[in-house]
Amino acid sequence: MMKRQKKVMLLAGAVLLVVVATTLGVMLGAGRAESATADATIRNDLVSQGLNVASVTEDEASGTLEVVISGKTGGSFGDAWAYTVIQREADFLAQSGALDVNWVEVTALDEQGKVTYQWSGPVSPRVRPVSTSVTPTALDTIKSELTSEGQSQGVTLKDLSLSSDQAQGTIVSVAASIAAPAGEQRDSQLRWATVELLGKLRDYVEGSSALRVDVYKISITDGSGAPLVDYVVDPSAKTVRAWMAPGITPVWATGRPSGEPAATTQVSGS
Amino acid sequence: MRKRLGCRLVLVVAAVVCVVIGLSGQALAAPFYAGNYRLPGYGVKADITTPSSMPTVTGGVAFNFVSNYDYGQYLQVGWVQGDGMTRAPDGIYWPTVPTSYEESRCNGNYFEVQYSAQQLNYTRTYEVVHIGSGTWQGIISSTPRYSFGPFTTPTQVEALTELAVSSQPHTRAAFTSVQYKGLYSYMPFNQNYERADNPPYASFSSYSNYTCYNGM
Repeated sequence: MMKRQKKVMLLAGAVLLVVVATTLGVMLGAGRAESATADATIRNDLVSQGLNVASVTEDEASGTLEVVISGKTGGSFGDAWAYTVIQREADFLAQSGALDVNWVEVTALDEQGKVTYQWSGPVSPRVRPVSTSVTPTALDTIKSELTSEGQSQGVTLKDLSLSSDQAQGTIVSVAASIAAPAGEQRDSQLRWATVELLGKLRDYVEGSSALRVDVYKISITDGSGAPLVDYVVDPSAKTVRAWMAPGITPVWATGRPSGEPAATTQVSGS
Repeated sequence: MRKRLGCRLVLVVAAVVCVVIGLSGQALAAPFYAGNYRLPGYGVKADITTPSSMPTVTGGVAFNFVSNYDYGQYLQVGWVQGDGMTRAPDGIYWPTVPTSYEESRCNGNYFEVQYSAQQLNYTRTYEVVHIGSGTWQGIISSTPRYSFGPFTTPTQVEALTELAVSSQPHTRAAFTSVQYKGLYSYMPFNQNYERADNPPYASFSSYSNYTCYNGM
């Protein structure tokens, strides 16, 4: 009788183990499949917007979206745009529920697979802007003013356009060129072509016009068309991202940290 | 002979004028600092307090921050107050009330973001710290913010007041518990790199506790 009871208990235990293992397996398997689908969706989403994505992983345990970008040593024109798009997509997809993360981590690799740049930051869920039709001539007045002022500064405003993007909403794109060689004059022109131009543009767009712009994008080249600066502002997130060609310093930054203290410090007793 | 003397005089006057113009231009453009540094560190943090009354910020911008620094590469967090006439990198004028911000320049990439206002007579702990593989993170009042890298690590760290555009902005920031991170833990700033460009002025209680101010 006792033997029989033992047998039944053992059998019941084995059945229970099988049931638990199967349930766990199904749950984990489904989770992986779901995550893999989400990864592919986000990857396709970024690739369709022109980003050179090497991999996308949603780390559910840490709540992090990890994106690896294939780039080159020193980065390239378009990097600032790519990073802005990744941040915005993470925010939009988190809002829509397609992505369950609270952090985004981006790694840029060069041709040899070496990390050239890495950044991470919080995901702030927000609604994707609705793509609306825009009047291409809406910025003609300010374009004319800025073209004229640019000429007096030595900056050629090659293009200033308004467009509607299915994924990112309303975008103002500016293309400018600066012919001056490296030096104070070019720095002054770079400052005008970024922060001053942007300021006048935003004063107009967000002031007198009835436009709602989601992203401002400024591309600056030298006289031969070689890239100098790629500058992107996300007004609702209050972020500025820029890529700079070698030799360019962020002249648009008002403040900057102090260099070597030994050379400049007035040392006093304490 | 007289003609040659005249020519020389003109040249000397022209040279003096050039030097004066150059110096005044430099004085207008150069930032002014007060605070202390530590070499090297794996991180830096400080409690930075706003003044009890609103500063009069004219003709420039005042920054109060902690930062790492290596040959122009940096990550800094702190609070900023502008004159309402100087534009921030996003094209809008710097806020006229003390406001937290984060800024970085790393390997050809620039980033800047503004956070919430920091009310008067209020302290926030600002920190930038190495989190591995040359990546450093900004932290404000224990909340992790953006991280960037790779930076040379360990590197110079600093906790400073900066007057940008001109030396005019009034400001007052108490820097308390200014600490650098060694390999494993935080320790008070312990080196005599105290600086005050007068303005901004500084009153040092120790290497790790000081007040930087101008006009108030």
